[in-house]
Amino acid sequence: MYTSGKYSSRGPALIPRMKTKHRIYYITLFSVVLLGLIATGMFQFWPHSIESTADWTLDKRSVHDAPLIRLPVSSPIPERGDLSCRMHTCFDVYRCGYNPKNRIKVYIYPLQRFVDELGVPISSTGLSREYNDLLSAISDSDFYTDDVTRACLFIPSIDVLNQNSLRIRETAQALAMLPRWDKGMNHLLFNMLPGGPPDYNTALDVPRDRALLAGGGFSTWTYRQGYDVSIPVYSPLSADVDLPERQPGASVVIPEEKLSEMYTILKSIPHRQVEEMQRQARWFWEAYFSSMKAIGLTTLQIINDRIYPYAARTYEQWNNPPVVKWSSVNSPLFLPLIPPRAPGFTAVVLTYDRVESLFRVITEISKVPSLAKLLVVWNNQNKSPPEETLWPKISVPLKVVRTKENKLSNRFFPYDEIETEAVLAIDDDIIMLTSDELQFGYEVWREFPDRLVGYPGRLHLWDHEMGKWKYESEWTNEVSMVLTGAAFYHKYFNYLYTYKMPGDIKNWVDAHMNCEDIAMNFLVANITGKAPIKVTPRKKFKCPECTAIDGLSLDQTHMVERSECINKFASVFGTMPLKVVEHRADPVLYKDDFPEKLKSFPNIGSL
Amino acid sequence: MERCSRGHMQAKKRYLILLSAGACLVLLFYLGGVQLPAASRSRHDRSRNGHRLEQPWPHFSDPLHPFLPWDQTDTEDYNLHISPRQKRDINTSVYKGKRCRMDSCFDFSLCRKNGFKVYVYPQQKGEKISESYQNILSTIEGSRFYTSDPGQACLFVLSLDTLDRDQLSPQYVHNLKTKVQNLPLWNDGRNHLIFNLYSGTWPDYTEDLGFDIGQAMLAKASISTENFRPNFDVSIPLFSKEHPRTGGERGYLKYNSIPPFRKYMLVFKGKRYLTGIGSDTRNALYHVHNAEDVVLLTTCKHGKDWQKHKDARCDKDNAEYDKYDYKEMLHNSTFCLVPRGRRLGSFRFLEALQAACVPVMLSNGWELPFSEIIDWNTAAVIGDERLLLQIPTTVRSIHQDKILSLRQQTQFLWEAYFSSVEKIVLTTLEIIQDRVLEHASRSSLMWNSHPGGLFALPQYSGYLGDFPFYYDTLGIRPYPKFTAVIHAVSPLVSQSQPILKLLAAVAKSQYCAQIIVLWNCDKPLPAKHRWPATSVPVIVIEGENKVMSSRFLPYEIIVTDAVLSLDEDTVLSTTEVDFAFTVWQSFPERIVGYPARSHFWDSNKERWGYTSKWTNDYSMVLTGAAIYHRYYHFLYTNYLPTSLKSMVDQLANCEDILMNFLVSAVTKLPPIKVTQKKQYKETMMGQSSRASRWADPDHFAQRQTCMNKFASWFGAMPLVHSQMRLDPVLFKDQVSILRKKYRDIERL
Repeated sequence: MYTSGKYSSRGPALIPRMKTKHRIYYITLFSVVLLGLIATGMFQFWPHSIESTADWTLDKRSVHDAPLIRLPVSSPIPERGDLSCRMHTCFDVYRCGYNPKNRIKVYIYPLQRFVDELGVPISSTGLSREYNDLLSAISDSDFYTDDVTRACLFIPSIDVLNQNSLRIRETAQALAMLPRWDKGMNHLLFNMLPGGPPDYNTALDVPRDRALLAGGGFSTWTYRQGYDVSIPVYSPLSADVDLPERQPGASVVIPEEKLSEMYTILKSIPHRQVEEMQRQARWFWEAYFSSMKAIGLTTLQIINDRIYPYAARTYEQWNNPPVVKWSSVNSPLFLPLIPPRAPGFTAVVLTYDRVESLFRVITEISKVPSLAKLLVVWNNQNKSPPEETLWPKISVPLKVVRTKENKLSNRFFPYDEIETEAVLAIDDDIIMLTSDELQFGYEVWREFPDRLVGYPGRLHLWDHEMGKWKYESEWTNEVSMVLTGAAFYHKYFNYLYTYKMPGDIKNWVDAHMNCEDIAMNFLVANITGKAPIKVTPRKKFKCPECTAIDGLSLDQTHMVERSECINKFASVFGTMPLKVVEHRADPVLYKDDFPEKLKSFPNIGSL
Repeated sequence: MERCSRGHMQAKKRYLILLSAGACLVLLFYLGGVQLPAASRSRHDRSRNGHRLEQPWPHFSDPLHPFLPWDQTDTEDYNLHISPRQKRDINTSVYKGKRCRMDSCFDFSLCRKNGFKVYVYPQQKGEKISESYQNILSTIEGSRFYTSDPGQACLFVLSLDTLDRDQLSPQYVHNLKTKVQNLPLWNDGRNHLIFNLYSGTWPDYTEDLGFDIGQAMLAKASISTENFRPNFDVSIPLFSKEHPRTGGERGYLKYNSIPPFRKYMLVFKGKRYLTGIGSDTRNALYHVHNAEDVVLLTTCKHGKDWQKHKDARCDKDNAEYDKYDYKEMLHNSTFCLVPRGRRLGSFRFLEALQAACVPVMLSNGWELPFSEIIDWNTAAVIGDERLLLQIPTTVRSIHQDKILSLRQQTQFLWEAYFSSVEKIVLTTLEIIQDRVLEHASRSSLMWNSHPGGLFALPQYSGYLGDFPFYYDTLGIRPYPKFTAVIHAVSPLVSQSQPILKLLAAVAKSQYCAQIIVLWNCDKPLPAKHRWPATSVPVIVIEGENKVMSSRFLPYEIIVTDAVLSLDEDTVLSTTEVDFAFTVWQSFPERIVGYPARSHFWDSNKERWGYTSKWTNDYSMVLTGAAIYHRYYHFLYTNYLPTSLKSMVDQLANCEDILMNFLVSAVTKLPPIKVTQKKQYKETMMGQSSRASRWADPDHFAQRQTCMNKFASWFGAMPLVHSQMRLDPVLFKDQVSILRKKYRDIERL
């Protein structure tokens, strides 16, 4: 390409002299241009083959090709490390800076072979198999950068895994010669076997200024907490886990003085705990220490967590094996709190066009003492809501929200208008709930703010014949769902429903215009691990003439569809999160032989 | 002309061709020229995404040696050609200085015989002790760790006030050096624990205590990581004189608002030091202040001669400072900046924690309080003073869910470890105990999740699944059977005695694993054949000293997680037991029972009142018929002080109230009342057997007294009211009784 350019640039000067041979000239010119284009094309379309050739040669590269560096005798030696080094004193955090991904960038020095003035190498083994594995793993990871100016952490290619194979003074000199050494700032060394005879120090003896040390065999004297990283001694032949950091879940630590009591102590550990520890240790080993790769990346993750502590992995993330994670739940509303009564609740009524029924519902709910606000979600795009003057006059604010589409999920949107923690979702035809029942429901919700607290209860059952889940709305002794046609819940679950619903459940619900309540029950049970609370006895919710069985519709297809929902949701969640219970909540004195007028909630269960 | 024109034509053609060739060339250059850097850039990009085209670390494929050659002798002598002296020089110590650790400066043998016992030196006449230190000492003396015999002690605490070691402070104790050296048990500070809140003084505020602490451990506020000896010292929070001794205020978070943002994003209001240590960060705060959602205010107005050092910003800053109210900001901000002051720690830290304002730490090198056990990343944002300008971006980038969780964790930590002097001191002692009894120490989960380390005693079990608190986290369920413990106080004389009926009814429950009869009657044990034959084992044991507390002893024969505690005269049907047990399985950390009682504040008498009347709410269920986790037996026996337990034993009363206090203090939740037939004690009371303590007229007055005694020990009223009762799903519903699983409950 370069030649072709040069050649054609000379072209115009030739023309007058080659009048007769212009044809040949044109042909030459065009073929040159063509060749140039082809060459460009090749460069563009064959990059992989070119690169892979390079790869191949690189892979073939041998440690013996690494440049040889001779260390002058007088070459400077780094200072001894400072025991008081901490991230804020010995680590330059500016190099890491603000990073939207909260991930440190790690640079690896190219391999060099250091020898002293007599040509004797500084290490008897040179680059070890393990250190090569470790550096290869880091260079393959997200942490790696080949741009030394963007790096936050530097890893020398000088192998110090085993101190016994090192000449300490010369190794130290070699470190100090690294171009970015700068008193060891932001440099990370890996060492597994520190201290040789006669002292057997518990940390690498190589003077190293401020460099961080990821080491095995630290003692509490040499381990600089929050700076160094304790790693196990890796040996591919041994399955012994030398536990780093302090992991009470997986090891028993017994002070030397207590050796005599060891047998008693070990015997006193319950069997289940031993099993648990074995499982934990095995998992630790596999997740973090099974290979040099795991050790290297775990070390970097630990340092990463120190530099971006607000993005750090939690103790549970570090320590819980995936098996536990599957069934374990950590509810996002984990603080045991009984919220005060005073803020009250916001009633959210989903309606389409049943105005008369809607107005009755509004009038009934407005009698509930703790009602703070009424929000009507107007789901009909073809019709405007009634004039303001026509609405029932109530003592709390009433807001109407018009939706863009007639979707069931609109009822669970976290509207800004909902200013209370407690939300009462209620259908526009639930006219039979008494003020006492609603107020009591709110009181129960206060005791269980992390659950769905609702009136009509439902159950899921395993259909042995069909081999799948079945929806049940009959009079059962058990409950695993409450219908959101009338239920209290925390506004947080609106967020979860709208933004965190797994899979395509939300769209599925909107498309089928059904099962939004089942979806909500799945969501809450899955994240809290808890059953809903059904409040007050079963009754007729819509009208005195209706049967006590309620819901959108009673026909068979409806029930079939709801069974389908349960099966679909269970497969999306990958588990059946619903929990079955046999209780419901009633006022303390419900049905007790006690004057009704002295009861807080006398009007419960009436038709 | 023609030729010329032809020539002209040809020239034209040629130029055209040249032009096109030139255009081609330009295109070529363009493509090549653009493509090349683009290609190199894309390679760069790809390398950033992990799909590198060029392998930066060559993955050397030579047959490399393992780092640990099996023939160690080859390498062992590798360093021998260095002179031994040279080697020693390098080897003597990798780091400068060596300091105390438990293994070197603590005598474990002192703790072996009597466990973890703490001795407090007797107070000497004429020695002034500050209120805070007095609170610390009385907490230790009132705790289960206390021993008055130095021969039994594992840990020693001075009666000399070491809290304030600022020479300029009026609380400063002089001649501490000689006083300490003269203590007969001092032993160079070995196994001693020294509490300190303030050290050093103006201008440099060093962490020197002004006397030689020898090998003693420090429980110190504002301790720096440089001076902190990990797993030896304990970092404690700075607390004020007014910090309550026991109980303490609850956290301010009343509910979790959604979205979790408050009016302000980040606030700070405090002094600015114009000169000297700790002034840098505060001097730079104004760069970040935006007077909208990030409000960082400083004032120069403090000290006598502030105007002498006054700088150009002072007047403006002071004016801005006066516009805002500290309390208002504290309660209405998502994050609270906690920059270092003269010392590393400040009161602000605890204030923010209590106010559920997530602390943003800007105090490099501060070893955070109880850092040994608390995972502060779950409750605070640990910033770096050097990156102050990034702080707003950092806090804004924190996800809402994380804020929600940080905020709740501040409340948990505040109430678990910080809200009173007692909690701070007990946490300190428990941390040291965990080190001493390492094989029975708490896991991080126990410290960092509800109900916290003070209520989760590792001596009970090392397996988390044995506690009632971690089922959800572990993803497991409690053992699905219970052990009934019947408290027998009257001799067995007739075959129609209530205890025998009760035994039969309980034994029939499908969830019953075994029945233990605790024989607390003065008469000797009845013969074995006197007990009815049941399908489950009945074990009769004699109560220790026949006292009331013995019914809550952690008997090893209780093998199930659930205990059904029963009085001998309780009347229960199998159905009632079955139903209550299924309810308990949903609430394994609470007491689930039948008859309920309530407490109320009697404002006339200014004390707590107790009522057994039928009320619309309750806060206790009687343990004469209740199911709870067996861990509470262990907690009752080992957590509560002897004073309260012996009060119960002497009165032979109130043990149920005490158990309710304890469980509610742990859970912060009410107990659960379940359905019962209305024949239990309420109707029995008048005609009950002569042994029944319920007939005693003093009984009720005693219970009132108990309540107030207990409340004062707990430092607050832990009981919580509930307005609901849990009934079977179809309870009293108008449907055929045949459909009801628990039909016996409503038959009477």
